[in-house]
Amino acid sequence: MTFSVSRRDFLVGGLAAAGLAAEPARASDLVFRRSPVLPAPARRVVALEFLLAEMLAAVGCPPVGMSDPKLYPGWIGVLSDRLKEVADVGTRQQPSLEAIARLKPDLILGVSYRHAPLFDVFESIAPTVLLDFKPVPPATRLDSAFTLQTMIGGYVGHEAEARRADAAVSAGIARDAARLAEAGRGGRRLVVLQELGGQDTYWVFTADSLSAGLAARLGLRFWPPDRSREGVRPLTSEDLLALDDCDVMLVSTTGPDIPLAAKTRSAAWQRVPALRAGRVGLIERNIWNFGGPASALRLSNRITDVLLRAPAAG
Amino acid sequence: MTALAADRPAPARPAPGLRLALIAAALVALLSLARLWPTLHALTSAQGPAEAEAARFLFWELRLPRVLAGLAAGAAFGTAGALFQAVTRNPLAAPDLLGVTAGAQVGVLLGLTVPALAAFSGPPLLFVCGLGAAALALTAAGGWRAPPLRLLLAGGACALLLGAGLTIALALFEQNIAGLALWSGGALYQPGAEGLTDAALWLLPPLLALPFLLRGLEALSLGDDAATGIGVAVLPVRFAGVVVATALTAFAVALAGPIGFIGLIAPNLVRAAGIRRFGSLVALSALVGGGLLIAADGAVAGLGLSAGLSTAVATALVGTPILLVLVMRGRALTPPDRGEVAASGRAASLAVVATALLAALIALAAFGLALGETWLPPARWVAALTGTDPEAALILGIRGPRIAVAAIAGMMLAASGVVLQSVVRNALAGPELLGVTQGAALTTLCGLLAWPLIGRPETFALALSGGLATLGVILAINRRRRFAPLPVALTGLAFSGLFAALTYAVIVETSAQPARALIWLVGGTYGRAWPDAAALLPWLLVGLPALAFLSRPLDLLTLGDDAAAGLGLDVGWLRALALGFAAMLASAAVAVVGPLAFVGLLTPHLARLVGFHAHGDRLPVAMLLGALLTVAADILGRAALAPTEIPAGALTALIGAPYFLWLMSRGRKSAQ
Repeated sequence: MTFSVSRRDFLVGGLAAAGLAAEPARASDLVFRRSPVLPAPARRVVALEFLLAEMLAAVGCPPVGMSDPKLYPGWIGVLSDRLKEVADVGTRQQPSLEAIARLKPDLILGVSYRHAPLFDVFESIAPTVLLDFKPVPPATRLDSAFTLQTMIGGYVGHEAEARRADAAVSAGIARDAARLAEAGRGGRRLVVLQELGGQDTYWVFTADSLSAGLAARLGLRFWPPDRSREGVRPLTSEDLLALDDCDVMLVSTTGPDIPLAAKTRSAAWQRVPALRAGRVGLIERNIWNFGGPASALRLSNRITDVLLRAPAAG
Repeated sequence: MTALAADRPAPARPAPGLRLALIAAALVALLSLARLWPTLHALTSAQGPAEAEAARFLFWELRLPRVLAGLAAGAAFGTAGALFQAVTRNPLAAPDLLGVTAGAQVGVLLGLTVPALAAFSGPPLLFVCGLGAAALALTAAGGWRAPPLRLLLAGGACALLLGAGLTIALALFEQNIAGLALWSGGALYQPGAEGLTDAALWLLPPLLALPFLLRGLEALSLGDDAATGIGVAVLPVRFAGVVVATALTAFAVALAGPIGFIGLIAPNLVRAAGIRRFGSLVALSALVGGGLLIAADGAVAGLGLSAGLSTAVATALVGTPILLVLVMRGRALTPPDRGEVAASGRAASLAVVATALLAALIALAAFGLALGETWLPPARWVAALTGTDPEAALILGIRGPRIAVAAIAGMMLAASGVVLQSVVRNALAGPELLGVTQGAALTTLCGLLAWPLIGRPETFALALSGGLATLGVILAINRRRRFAPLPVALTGLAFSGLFAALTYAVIVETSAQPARALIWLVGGTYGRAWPDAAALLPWLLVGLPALAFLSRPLDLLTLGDDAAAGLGLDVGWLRALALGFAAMLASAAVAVVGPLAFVGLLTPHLARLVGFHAHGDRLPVAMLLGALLTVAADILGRAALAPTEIPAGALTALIGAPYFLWLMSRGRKSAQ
């Protein structure tokens, strides 16, 4: 049983618009390219990016195959137990077409920035949707994540589960916001960095990132104010010298055996005001910023914990 | 006889080297001052103790060390380039000739992935790994007695080998090593004052050894026999030169990243300015190298360009136009050594070897069709063709076109390499060296980024226009000198550096996560379909008769320009035609498989090592070897770690380079 996809788009877009008055991310903006006809609902889905697998797990319909399942626990690690049995179809960038074909999927979910040139090849195996989650200003990747998850719930016929999962995440973030407000930690500026392993060079998450969306919901201000194409841009520790009212979250790229002090030995770091004030917190290795709503909730929990441990603002 | 020889009478004007050195030094001082000016200004106009303290810190701990690091690294690159070019007697030799850059990249990777090494990560680890890679290349070349050309080829093969390993790591663990891709763009390290003084200690040994080597190295440029005649111990001098240059390069790469391009252009700039004496050449190369690097770094920081436009890109942007102007003015460009690998005797006749290679290719292709997660025996091929086995048809539709594309592209790249090496008369020539590959890759990438859903004809049009436009400019610049080999090679090298850097800049600009696009840059056959193979085939079919037609004149060309002209050949036209043809073959291949490494550069040497010299023989053998290599890379890339794909571009080097090194060492033994 199949039905036209443009109608489905309209329905999902309508749901998103009804749910959130500001219409932060429209479903139709998030579809890069799709087969004209999709199964309704899809039962055997292959997910070629971590966040797609995470969302399928969150709405209660884990994929039959996914990219890099061995790396998922180390980088996302959210809902991993629901993805234990999923078949490996190779890397995210160049998934094995034979491995996908062997699973006989009825839907392939990919992302525009990796799989755009492969659409035709994928479509020769099964109906395909390539997604794109660049949010339209002023929406953030958090808004995109919610909209995408609702949409994916629709593809697999789990609309109700998707709504429940959304509500649980929103409630969890609201609880974190309440904890921060209670401790009087609201209103400060939040900076989130991803460590890359290089000397003093990081990604900073920008105003369109999932972190920026979280900051707004947690009642925090966010730095930097600019947006970027993928939610990150390069930054050196020197750029932090001028920021004297910030809490800095450094997302680690190493295991827990290397402490914050070892990562901030350079001359520039030693003069960063946030470090001197004890307001730089290390968050365990992850890429939740590139994940779905469940990743967002995990990140929200960590940021809140770290902020509450930092000395009170004086 | 060489570009480096002091083959002209002493210039009339007194000490042009000194005059130039003063001008260059003044320029470098001005550049440094301009770079430091804003911070200096803040230092003098600071109000209040806190602001003054911050300004002092900024100046002494960050800005000044950065400028000094840039100067030191650039000077080390320049010196190393001058030394390597003297040792190899090849003005196209770059400081990372022995794979130092690739070794340092391995160091970055180790620092990122091995927790035990994290404490040493940064310059010390990069320095040690760079030296290690050079030692590997030197060993592969046959130790300290290795002649220059063997050094060049062994270094190139080792660099490709290490690069292939890195690419595979990138493909498999993209997330873990985002920092490696960032480093590869050439971000100037900011060590702070303390780190810089530590690093400076490594410079001491090579700098102390340098003065004792100058006379010997200058004598080397006269040729081994002449040098021996005036009492120079050729082998020890050459070896010491290689070691000193390698140490300098390792220092520079550890500090400034992979921008050996500076060491390639700085000595050529100095030579083009008319400097002949080796001591002056080395000193001025150091000055020019330092100046170029801080100019590039200043352009990035001062113009407020994005962090994506790294030092490497800026270096190419600054250096390329200067090099081009010099080539157009055409000074001091005598041809380098012809350089061929000592070839073993021919193993068998062309007919036997070609038939054997063709049979091997067909057998390998059949094996590749059958091999995979699902084993497909020939019986199921028939069933697929008759439509009774849709599953087999689907799988064959995935495997078949990849093999076809690999075979065709391998042949085209190999043919392009053979023709280019003959025309340019340089063993290091190949589609990569002329900038054709990079030009085609750059236009294709820009097109793909601007219109992600672009079709095949448009991709071809883009790649061909990029590759042919590059060649057109090279030919236009060199028309007056009838496309003489060395200026053509230098022009091509300038463009290849520029386009490679621009491609990288485009990737970094469009995505904060360059690791993804780097996999495209390596080239490969992943995801290619029948229409790709069908689009590629006509270019090869058009190419075959043209190659047959060109092979005889190309043989004559190897006798030298005068001899060829004496036999009634229009040398200029032949070169232009052959270059255009080689560029077309390479561009069409790049349109489908991307800039696949190794095939165009080293299969021509493989064909010669197997014993085929005349073009009529060497072309078919090299083409079949290219096809075999690429098809093997395709199959292995798909099946070795299934379902994980390894880009074929990494595997061509991983399979080809060790075989090449083995052949080289075998040739050496039989020669002894």
